[in-house]
Amino acid sequence: MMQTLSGALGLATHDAAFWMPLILVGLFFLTTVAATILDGFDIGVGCLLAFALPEHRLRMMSLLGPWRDANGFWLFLGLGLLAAAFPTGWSAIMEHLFLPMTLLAMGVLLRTAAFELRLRAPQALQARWVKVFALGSWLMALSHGVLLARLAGAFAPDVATPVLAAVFAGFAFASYAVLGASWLVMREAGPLRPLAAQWGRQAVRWVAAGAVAVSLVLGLANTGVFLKWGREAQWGLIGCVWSSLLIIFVLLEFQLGCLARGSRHLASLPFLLVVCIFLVVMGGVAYSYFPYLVLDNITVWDGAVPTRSLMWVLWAALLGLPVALGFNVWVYWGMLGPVRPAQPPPFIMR
Amino acid sequence: MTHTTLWLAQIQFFASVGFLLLFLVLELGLAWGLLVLRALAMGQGRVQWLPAYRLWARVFALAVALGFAASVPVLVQTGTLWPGLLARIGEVSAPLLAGLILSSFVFKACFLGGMLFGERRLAPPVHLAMVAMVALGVTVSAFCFLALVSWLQAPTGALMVDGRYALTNLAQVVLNPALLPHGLWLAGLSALSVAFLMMSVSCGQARRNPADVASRGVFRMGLGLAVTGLLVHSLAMLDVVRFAAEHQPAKAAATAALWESGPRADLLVLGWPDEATATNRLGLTWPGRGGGLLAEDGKGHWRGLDQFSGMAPPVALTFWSFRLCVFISLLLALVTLANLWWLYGRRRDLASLPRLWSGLNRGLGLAGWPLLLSALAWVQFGAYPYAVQGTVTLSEVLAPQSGVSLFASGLAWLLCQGLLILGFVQLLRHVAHHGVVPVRRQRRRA
Repeated sequence: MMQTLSGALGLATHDAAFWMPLILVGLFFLTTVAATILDGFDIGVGCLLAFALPEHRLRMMSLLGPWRDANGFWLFLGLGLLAAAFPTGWSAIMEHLFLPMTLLAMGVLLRTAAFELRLRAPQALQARWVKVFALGSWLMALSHGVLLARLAGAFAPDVATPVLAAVFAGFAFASYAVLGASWLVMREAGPLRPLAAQWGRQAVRWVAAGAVAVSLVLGLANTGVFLKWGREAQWGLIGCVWSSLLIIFVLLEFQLGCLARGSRHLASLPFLLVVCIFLVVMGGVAYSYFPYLVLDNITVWDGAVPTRSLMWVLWAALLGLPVALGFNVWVYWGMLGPVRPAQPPPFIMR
Repeated sequence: MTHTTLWLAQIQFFASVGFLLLFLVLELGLAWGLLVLRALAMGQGRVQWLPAYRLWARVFALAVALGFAASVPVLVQTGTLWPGLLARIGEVSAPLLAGLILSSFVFKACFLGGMLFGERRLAPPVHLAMVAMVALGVTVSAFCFLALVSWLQAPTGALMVDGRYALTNLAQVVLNPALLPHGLWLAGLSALSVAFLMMSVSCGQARRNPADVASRGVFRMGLGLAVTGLLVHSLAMLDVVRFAAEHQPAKAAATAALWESGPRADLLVLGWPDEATATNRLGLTWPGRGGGLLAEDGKGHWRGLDQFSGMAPPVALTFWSFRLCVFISLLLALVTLANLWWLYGRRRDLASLPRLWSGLNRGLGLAGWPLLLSALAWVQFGAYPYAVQGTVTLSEVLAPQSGVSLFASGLAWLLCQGLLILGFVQLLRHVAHHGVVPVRRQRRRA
């Protein structure tokens, strides 16, 4: 595949102009996936705050505490990488995404600020910042849906109608709710667990509908994507993807049901399954898009800056990568399991 | 219609960048202030500085959180409001954005947690090193941001080819002629913002608790910072004016409100520049002294607004944002001098400050903010109609959005920003009155 691509571009595979944008788009995809999943459970828990009892809300917020700073950074990293390495692509994309990106940025602002303000506010003011945090999470979840509708419709105004955007926003909301609920189920063993499992069950069917809708719109609205998936050799792949998705959904529904009835086994399974769903859907969208940044218009290579400038971005990424790996492994180590209680602070006389 | 949308977009962008800068200046100034406080708290018998460090570390933590939250909207809006911009300057912005993101990530991942949550866990010298690294990290990030913004004022080190900038020399891009004046200005503004905040909070503390030693120390520190900040700020303003006269003659002419070029220019100290009639109304002038603000055309004539054929910023806005900046600086200088006189001239104690005077000190805690916003207004609106000085105009990179959506989104942004500023100020007052309750974060536990 690389040979075909480099041949089509008239570049050798070892040419920096060929592989540099490729590496950076790979990093961008990884960051986006991390942002969607790691910031995603955070958004999901935030969305569920609206349905939770007041006495559970503060617990849900404090469960997020240890991860919040790391979670919030992924989006900034992804946006920054896109703006730095692919400014032409960035410009072409952003021009069409005024509404979703404005909602997204507003959501980020409110969420990040409200979380920190609540953490440090006196008790009397905390409930207000929890509400602002929930509002920011709703904005972010809905904006991701609108964003996906625009991307799947390839920015064509006749496809990306308000109705489609609204439907996709609903699906995105459900997806984050399931992600957040299954994360809560995994982390919290107390009375919150059956409640969270119940929320997850209510949302999961909408996620399934959303996954189907995204693929349908993406395939039917874009001839290029339709042809790409429809090639003879791909039928096996498509069959595998959809049957595994079906199995995952059935398992998820079943396991959430068990946990909602008070079972204590395999509490991490729903979260892992939801992560699998996210990975499959995002992988599918990325595969459909590759090698384009704007479908059928701007490729990864058109969108990137020339190598003499891109080199600096790559150096920054190379320098940042070990720090990022070390930091994130340290932060997220041990997340897949129930929460442990906080330790009392050591008493030191100085 | 496009004129309206252009200005709606400009105001929205101004609000976002201004909101970011409000917290960035506090972050920058407090990072170095905290390094001094932490160093003062080292060693035997000097633990009285530790509570002061903890209190200001809390304010710093809030400023960092809000500054980070505010940076995402600015990044997004460079794309949604000015989609054409990065496509044109991408080669220049790429290394600077990469440096900005790398430095802010490394500083956040490696040192910030240790500084904010590790004070009781780490050995004091290690913690001091963490605080120093955080100060360094904040400065490097701010430097990258500043380099990009100042390059837009003076695009050197890159050539315009086919409507896009091609990078020729990165060192020249970073060390552009606008960097030093605007960098000095940012440093001065940041010192002033933190100085007045420190004086305000410690003045109230000394009043409530006359036996508190640390609050007097912090007040003296704030006073010293205010003096330094005022000096740097004045120097920077002189340098910025010189820079504008050299590189942005239209901005210089609008600042001086000189409508017609000529060999003689009066300095209009106060007045109302009327763009419709191209004259100044109600002028208070200083005859013959306008040259200090203006550009010369080589024939001994001062360049007035008639030479730019419409490619000039809005005159009244540029004129008044500059004057506002000068007036607020003068007011702050007056308060600083009065405080100096009380403390060192009359050798009186802080707690015995007259009620009204002490109230003034406490009320001016955020006086750095209007100063900063007026300076930003002059820099941003004075650069109009250019996004990149002399080559790329704002209207050619503007997003194809309707006025209604820009108005609605701008209103929503203002609401969000207002809410968060109120929250910040409320929490600041709470911290100043009641001190800090430790906030803990344990990885993997909750």
